[in-house]
Amino acid sequence: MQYYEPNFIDEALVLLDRFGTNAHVLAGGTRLRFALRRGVAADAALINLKRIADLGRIEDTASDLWIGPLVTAAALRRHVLVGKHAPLLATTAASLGAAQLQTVATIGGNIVSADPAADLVPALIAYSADAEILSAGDCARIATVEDIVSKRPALQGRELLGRIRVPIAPHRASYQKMTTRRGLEMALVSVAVSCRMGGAVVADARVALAGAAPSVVRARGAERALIGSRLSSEVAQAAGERAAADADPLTDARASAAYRRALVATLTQRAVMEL
Amino acid sequence: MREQELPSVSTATNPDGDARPLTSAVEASSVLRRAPQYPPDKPEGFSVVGKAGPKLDSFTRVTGQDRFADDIFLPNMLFGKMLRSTQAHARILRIDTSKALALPGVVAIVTGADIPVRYGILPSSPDEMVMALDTVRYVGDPIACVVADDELTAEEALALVQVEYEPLPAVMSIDEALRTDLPQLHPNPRRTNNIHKEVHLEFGDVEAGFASADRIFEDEYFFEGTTHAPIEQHAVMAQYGADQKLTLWAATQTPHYLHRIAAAVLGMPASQIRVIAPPVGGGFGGKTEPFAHELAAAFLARKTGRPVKITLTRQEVFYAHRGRHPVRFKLKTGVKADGTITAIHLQSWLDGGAYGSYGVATTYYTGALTTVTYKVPAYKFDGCRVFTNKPPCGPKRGHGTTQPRFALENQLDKIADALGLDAAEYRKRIAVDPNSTTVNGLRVTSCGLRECIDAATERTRYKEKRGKLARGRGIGLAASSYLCGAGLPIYWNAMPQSGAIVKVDRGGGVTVLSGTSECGQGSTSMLAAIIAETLGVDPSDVSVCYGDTDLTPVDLGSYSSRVTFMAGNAARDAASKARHLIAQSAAERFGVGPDRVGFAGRRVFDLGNRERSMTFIEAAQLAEARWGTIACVGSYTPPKLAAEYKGSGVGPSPAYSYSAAVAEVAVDLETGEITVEKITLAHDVGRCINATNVEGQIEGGVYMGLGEALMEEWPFRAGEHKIPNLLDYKTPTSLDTPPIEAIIVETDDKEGPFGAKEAGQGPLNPVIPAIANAVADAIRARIHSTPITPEKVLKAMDAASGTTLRLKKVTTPSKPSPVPV
Amino acid sequence: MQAIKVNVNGDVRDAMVEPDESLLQFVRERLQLTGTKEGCSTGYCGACTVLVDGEPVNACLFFAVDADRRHVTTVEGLSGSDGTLATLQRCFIEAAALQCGFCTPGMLLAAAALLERTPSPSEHEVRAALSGNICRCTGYQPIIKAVQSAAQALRREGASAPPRTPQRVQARA
Repeated sequence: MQYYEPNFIDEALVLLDRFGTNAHVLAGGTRLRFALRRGVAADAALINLKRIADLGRIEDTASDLWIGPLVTAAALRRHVLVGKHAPLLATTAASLGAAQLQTVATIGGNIVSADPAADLVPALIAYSADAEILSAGDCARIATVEDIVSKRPALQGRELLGRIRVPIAPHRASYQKMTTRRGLEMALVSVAVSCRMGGAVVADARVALAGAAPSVVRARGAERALIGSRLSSEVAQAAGERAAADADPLTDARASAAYRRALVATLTQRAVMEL
Repeated sequence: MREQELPSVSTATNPDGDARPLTSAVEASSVLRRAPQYPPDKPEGFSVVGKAGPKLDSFTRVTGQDRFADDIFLPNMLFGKMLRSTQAHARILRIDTSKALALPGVVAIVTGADIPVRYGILPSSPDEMVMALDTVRYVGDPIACVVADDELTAEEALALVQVEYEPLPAVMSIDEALRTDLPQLHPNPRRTNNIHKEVHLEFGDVEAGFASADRIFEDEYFFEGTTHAPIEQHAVMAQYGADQKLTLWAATQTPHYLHRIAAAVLGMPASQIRVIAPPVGGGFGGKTEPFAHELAAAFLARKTGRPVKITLTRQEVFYAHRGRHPVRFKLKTGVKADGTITAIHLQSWLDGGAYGSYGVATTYYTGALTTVTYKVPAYKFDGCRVFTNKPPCGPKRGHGTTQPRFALENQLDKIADALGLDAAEYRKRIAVDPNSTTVNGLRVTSCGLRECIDAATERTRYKEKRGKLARGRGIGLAASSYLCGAGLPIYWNAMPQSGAIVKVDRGGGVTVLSGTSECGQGSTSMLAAIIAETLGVDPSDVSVCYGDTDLTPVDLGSYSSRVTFMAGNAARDAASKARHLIAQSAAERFGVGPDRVGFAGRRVFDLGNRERSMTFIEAAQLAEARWGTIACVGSYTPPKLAAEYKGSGVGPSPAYSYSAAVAEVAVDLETGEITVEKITLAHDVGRCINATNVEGQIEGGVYMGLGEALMEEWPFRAGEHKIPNLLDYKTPTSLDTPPIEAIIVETDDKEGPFGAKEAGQGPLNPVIPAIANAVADAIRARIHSTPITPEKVLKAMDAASGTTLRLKKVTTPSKPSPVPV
Repeated sequence: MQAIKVNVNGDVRDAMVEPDESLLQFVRERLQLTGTKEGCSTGYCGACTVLVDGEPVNACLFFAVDADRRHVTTVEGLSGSDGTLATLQRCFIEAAALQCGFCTPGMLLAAAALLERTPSPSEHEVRAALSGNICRCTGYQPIIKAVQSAAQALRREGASAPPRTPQRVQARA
């Protein structure tokens, strides 16, 4: 196996281009460890991104919070700009695995792995976040996080996830996560809700569901139930019911589809009540 | 009479008032204790027994200095990996190892044909082979073993071994195993199905018992299979020397059984094999029998002449299993209007997995201890264990008694409610009496069951709360009992179950050699305390050499909650003999009779005049000068306890421990989420040797029960274990585990070492039904299967209210309940 | 093979490692620091927890190449060079915070990381900080107690948790 530690993004993109499907990108490495264990081709390359400082920054502009894909969950938990502009990201980062995983797990990895129960993705979707997708020789293209995680795989072989952009705006947000046990756990179902208020009325709303569909998805019916309304328990209940209808859960070892759908209703209702 | 003797709550104190500083800052748990009664050979009172104190081995544990089996590296060693079946049930047509053998770095590969010897931990079911000869019976069944210069090469080589299978229909459930149209896992011409063992026992007049009952309760229960999940993955290092001697360092709770079976399988004299049990990183019953990887490593070390290490991956640990059997029950209980039990008929079906393991014993255990907790005048038990194409089940903490306890205590609450009885008073009223014999011939001696129920319910104000809390909050009680070691060894013999050698050094140190295995349960500290108590030295003066078949006398192993009672008694026997020698020579010096010599605080003194004394070192030297080297042997053989019927060998024990647990829970009525807020557990340990250890065992048992009650599952799909990893197989984390209050109840067992009984397994048993009963109290509905998941909570509430309100908008059908109701 | 320079428990180690070698393999097999245990190799049990620049990581998931020019602390680095037990270790013994002891090294390091950042943790903070470390023996209660009493003792001593420096090792030419 060949090993590279590119210093710049362009260098990494060239390597990705050269090795194609034989390239393995190392960021936090929590998923890569599993992929490598299944065996790799002798001519595979491991491309460690750790030297690329641009990918590890958190910055804000007047309109946006920019988060590099190498930013770890631990950093999201603690960074002052995240706390200020996107507190739900800090909340969800704190519920990602446990301290050991938070030290290494990156926001980019959380997006690219596209797990239907990913911890950070619901907050990103609720925040209408998008991200740069980079590839050698091309201009960066921008895609919403919801679109990125809906694809399998999330990125093509020669693509690299760039910075993530979270629009800055006054908002109310909340997060509900139900798990089988309370520590070291992915969500059975989680719900992230973000609303922009116009006075007492919800001007815009985003509801994101994890564990409720093949990928983390928006509950557009629930959003419609919220937009234009004044927040109340009736509205919350309606949003919950609509979210349950939006959900498309699976039955697996951890819970039945029916139970997951019931959870979507309850958790969405609770998340709205908490706004 | 008993009530007058009821002890008051106190913390453990030093009854001797001895000024010698204890080595601990640990607070003792609360201990309910009668006025201490000292055994005749301890007239000076206790100075070590009953104290809190750190585990002797904790100093090297917190520094990472101990070498567990996987921490052993030897020069020129090889790494082994096992190739495991990808099929649940198949004939092996061909195994081609040539490509793997050609891989540089691969040193040897063996398959089942190389070691065609059948073995089994129970002599009655020798149905295992180190590697499959012609048939694989579960996904994970070993087929071949590769050794290579490094682990990676061994792994690569596995992928190059070609196995051609002829798939057979897989038997994946109890129902399928009872069918006659599926292939047998183990050919048995006397049957047409996959039943491994059937037991039918009847005691007293069962028919008359039910006829005389005012009410009869019949329920069905299902207890889900669970696994031990010790954090240490099984590991072994095997070395075969030029002297043709084989040494095995194995993560095992039973070095003696590994020794025996290794000799048989390898065809070597046992005298040429040495088994060493280094510290074990958690066992819980999961490391109590010889495993394929241990025998394969031994075989390959002999074949290659190089040391071989095999450490299982976590996935393989799930396959090695030998965990809790999934069991389905039918439970029929007849009672008088006042709740007095007139008869019980218990039927159990055990899903045994692919091999026998301890399963014959497990089958008996699902029925044997029904009678040692409450008075049952007539009892019928039908047990049936089946083979299925899953990892083999075996003993897990509570071995076979945990599952029926869930059913029995669940139904007992139901009976109490139906008859309008207070569930705690009811249990006390029907509790067995000390010094009685059960209908199935089990001898009960010391019994603190009523005291345990009182202690746990009073501490939690159970009677004020049960049935009176707001919906969504609940409190539940359950009681149980467990063995202090099986009365009979697993292979018939007339020799002791445990032996010990105690050697007194002229420098004042004392060494005990004991064949036990230290898997965290605290056997080392227990042995040191018993010897220190007997000889009046500090536990830190005692060096415990354990688990080494060359050095230590046989102890059958750290299972069956037998170590304190049996190894403790053997060590006490040996130490008492040393004490006797030292006392005699000291008595001569004091000019008094040997009965007047006391031992405490590293001093030996005249009990009549404590001023007349000498240091323990002086006394030891005096004794050595008088008698020669002071090294004494001790043994423990349980009294003959088995009754005269076939199957009576499982259930008898020299003593039974008793426990009562109270769980307090909050249930989220919308999500079904259960929060266990506290568990209070009172345990009759006879007498606690080391309060810290006993408390730790209680808390650990509560913890393990909590996981089984709420989250642990054992699911299969398409013949394969669905979740052989520690993320999906849920074990409770620090955020899941509630505060646990341990209350130690002492009854002073006449045959236990200094009155002690067990604490390792018993405290787990009542936890699961206590949580179930608490959830039932909270949601006004009963759940008859484990684990009690949020989803089942919602379903039970819906069923109880006759609606499907909560899930009514749902169009997708929910998965069928595994409850065989 | 890739060259790395790692400060392990205060000693700078130069080593050649495979690109995909885990930090766990590196400390256990190359350095023979067997105090760090393997419990699952998948990041689901925490037994292999070590500190990298003071932060807890699962050594089984962590790439040895990512430890280059960083500080790694294993259980062997907790006690003083003269063998004196660290306060945390002492408190684990006193509170009987271990039974089999296999999860203990990882537990100690997760706790050390917590106390470094949060000198007066609440019980919930302790439980949360240790939620990535599974213990199958104790039920956690004595472990929580040990960490809390260590926090108290450390505050009293005014001493800091185990020796650790956050800045990276300067690469030598």
